[in-house]
Amino acid sequence: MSSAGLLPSMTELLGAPAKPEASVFTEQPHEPITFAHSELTPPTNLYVTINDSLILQANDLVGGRQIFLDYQILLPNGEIVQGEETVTTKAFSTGGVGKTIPLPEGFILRLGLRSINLAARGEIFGVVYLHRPPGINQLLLQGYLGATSAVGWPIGSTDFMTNGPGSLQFHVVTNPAAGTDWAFFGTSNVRTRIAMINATLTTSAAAANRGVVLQIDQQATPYYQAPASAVQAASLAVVYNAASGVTPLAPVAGVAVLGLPTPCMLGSFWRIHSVTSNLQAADQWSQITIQTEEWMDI
Amino acid sequence: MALPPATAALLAPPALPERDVQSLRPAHSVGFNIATAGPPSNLYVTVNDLLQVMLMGISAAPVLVDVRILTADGQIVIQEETISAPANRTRNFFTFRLPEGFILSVSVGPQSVALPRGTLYAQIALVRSQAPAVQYTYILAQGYIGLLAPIYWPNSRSDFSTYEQGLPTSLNQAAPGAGLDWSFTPVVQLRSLLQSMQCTLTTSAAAGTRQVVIQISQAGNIIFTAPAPSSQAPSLAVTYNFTPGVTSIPTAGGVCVTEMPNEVTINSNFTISTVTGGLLAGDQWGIIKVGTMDWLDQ
Repeated sequence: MSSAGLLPSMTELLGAPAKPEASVFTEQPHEPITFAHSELTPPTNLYVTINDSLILQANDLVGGRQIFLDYQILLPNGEIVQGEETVTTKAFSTGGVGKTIPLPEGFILRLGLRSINLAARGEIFGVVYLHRPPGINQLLLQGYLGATSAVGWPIGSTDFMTNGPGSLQFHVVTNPAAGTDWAFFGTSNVRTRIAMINATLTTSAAAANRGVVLQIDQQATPYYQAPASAVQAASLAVVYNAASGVTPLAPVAGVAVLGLPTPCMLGSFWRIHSVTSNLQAADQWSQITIQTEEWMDI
Repeated sequence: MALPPATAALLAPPALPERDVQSLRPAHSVGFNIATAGPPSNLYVTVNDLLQVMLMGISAAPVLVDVRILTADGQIVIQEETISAPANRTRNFFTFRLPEGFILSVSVGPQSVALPRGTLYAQIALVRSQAPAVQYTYILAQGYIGLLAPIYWPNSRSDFSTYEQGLPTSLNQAAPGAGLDWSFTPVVQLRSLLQSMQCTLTTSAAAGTRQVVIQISQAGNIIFTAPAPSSQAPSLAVTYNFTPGVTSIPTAGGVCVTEMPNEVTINSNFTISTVTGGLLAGDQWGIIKVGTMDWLDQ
């Protein structure tokens, strides 16, 4: 708030009226063409009636952030009215949020959708439809919101959830019980690119050669298996790393590398997991961390 | 003082285009109201609207804002402002009051300084909001700007800051103290794609084998570890390269190459560091360079 108690934008507006001067001489004075400035047609073709409404929807990987929809509408009496609606997002895993905004008769001049919170790319996705009963939804704008990704109508991009870079995420997988393998599942309604994986297998003293394989599947038939280049003997700790575009390597300084597909994409509820042959009852997987790039995908 | 080139060109005799190319028959039935045409724009604004330009990046280069407005009295007024923002990646807003009328065109671009793509991001917007901060409401254009890449309205472009190519960046990382490893973390609100890292380890005469390992972590959780394909003996200087898309090569001619995942995209939540096994007090890391492609992301 400003010192006068007004919002900053209102303080600006209540200043002395702008009197633009031709500060740059760029034209000769003679202009045979003149422009009408009364009895004009509305400066937009988005005519709406009382039977129409705006529908605002927002999905947020994080949640708890405020989304603002602003719109200007030219009413039948010639007045231009500024509308502003807001919703607070929920975490994507708990569903999106929405709001229906009834409209008066008039002409929508412009719409703007924004988050007042800074948001990295891929986190907050907003959509605004014009709903015309019985079931017609006319898409006006959609896209990821952020300080450097404004969306609006009639100007502004209309983007899809899976376009462009996604959200950088990091996951720690809970250690499984001793003697069992671990699994990471793609989140519901999220497209997940596996960037890097790190996991440590500590083998017990029980004699056996353990063979580590990373497997990707849809909880059924695998579509990719990455075997380690060397087996792991008893009483050792080996860090297994996996990523796209790397050459599989046998352990060097206790670190082994496994190759993943390029790109390594998981659909909703797909999984990547270890399948370790000869895993002994006291063997333990631990420190399982995964970096991903994710796109909401509904 | 001599006239600016643009003014001199304007003061030349009026153009008299000739029908050099026969492309139409002389008679047509539709007539046009040339004398009192409607405004050649649909971007109607009132004294309640503000024009806002946002600059954000790592250049304080002067940027020219040009606005042409058809005012309510039929005059075409041209405003020109020069603005610049601190080179600190924060958002800087420049707000201009408007008269009632029709905006005919707006453009924002650097005046004379070449700006590689990814250096300076700009938005042009109309603001009319009661939300808590003076921010864009209705976007007109957005994108990275350069000498041959202004942003403009109409026929505007709306580029998000994380799209297409970012800014190639090469950082010199400060050398750590003797006997210590080094680490690199991107600055906040930046998305960085790792291109390559190069650093030199000079080992002391103290006996022992040093094994260099590069590690990517998030808040102390290791995500990926890549050991160099060969270890290093005392009293040697070896230059280590870590990069995606190459096969690891053991030390030859004092140079060692280690393969990295093919898309290491990180932000300020992530750290890349060396973890050198057997590093001794007199060993010294130096000449540390990190090459990335960077995008503003907030």
